[in-house]
Amino acid sequence: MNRILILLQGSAPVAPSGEIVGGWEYVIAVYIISALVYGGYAYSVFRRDNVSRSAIKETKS
Amino acid sequence: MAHSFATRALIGSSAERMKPKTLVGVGGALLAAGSLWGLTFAPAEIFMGDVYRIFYIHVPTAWIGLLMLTAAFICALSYLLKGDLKWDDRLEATMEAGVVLSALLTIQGSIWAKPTWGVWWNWDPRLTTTAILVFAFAGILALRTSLKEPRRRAMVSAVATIVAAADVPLVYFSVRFWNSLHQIQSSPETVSAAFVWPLRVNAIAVLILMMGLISIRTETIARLREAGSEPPPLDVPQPTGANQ
Repeated sequence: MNRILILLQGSAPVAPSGEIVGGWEYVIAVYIISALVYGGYAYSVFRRDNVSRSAIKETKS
Repeated sequence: MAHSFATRALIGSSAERMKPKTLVGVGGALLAAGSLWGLTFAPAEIFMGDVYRIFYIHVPTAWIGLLMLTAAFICALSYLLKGDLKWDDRLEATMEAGVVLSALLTIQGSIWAKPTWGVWWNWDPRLTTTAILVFAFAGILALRTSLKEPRRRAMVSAVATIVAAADVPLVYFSVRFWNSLHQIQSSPETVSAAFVWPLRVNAIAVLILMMGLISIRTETIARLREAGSEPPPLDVPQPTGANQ
């Protein structure tokens, strides 16, 4: 049946390979965003910890 | 010590002696090494090519994000059973980390979807349940800021967390329960041997990093709570004839 269809169409249908070529821009974007989020969250945790320590120290003094 | 919670719960007594800042440093360094491995030395995947390298950061983020929210569920149950506000401190710290990781997971997945599915977003069961997860837990964190009384805040958060946590297994199993564009859950058993080690290194790295951060965060939350007004004792129901 496929051969008949190919004959009728005059050429073989081009099946997509399913392979993705390139795409490094997506990979780089993901790693940069991840580094920013992990780094930003770590910074935020340390910053809030320092702020709470100094606030309590000020309250006591 | 508040930081002993995460370490004791997750990797045992040998790491208990490690300071949280050391955990953060070790986790960060391991994450950088694992990511470099995935970006350079690991081979490209046969169909997805280099885009597959997103996998090495996306999957560990997903695993540890769901683990953090499961830990928040355990903290919620523990608070309801024991009534100790330390469990509420731990709940907030683990939930906050879980929300950060789940939100990051959604962004990473959206970027990966574009070259592979052709769209940034699709209302696929995995994506939809993950979006619900992020909004539900972020909503609980927002709700906490409006409740000033520690015991009331702890009780409301614990109940809401238990309800929201029902979505955690739904996210995990959504790719099996329903027809999904998303591939089935990744594990060392379902991943080719060439891709496993950078995946493992990054998963361990994110776990160690988050343990350190949660420990510090738990201490901060506890410190602020203890510096504030002392919480009133738990409401104990009085016998009906007590006032007569």
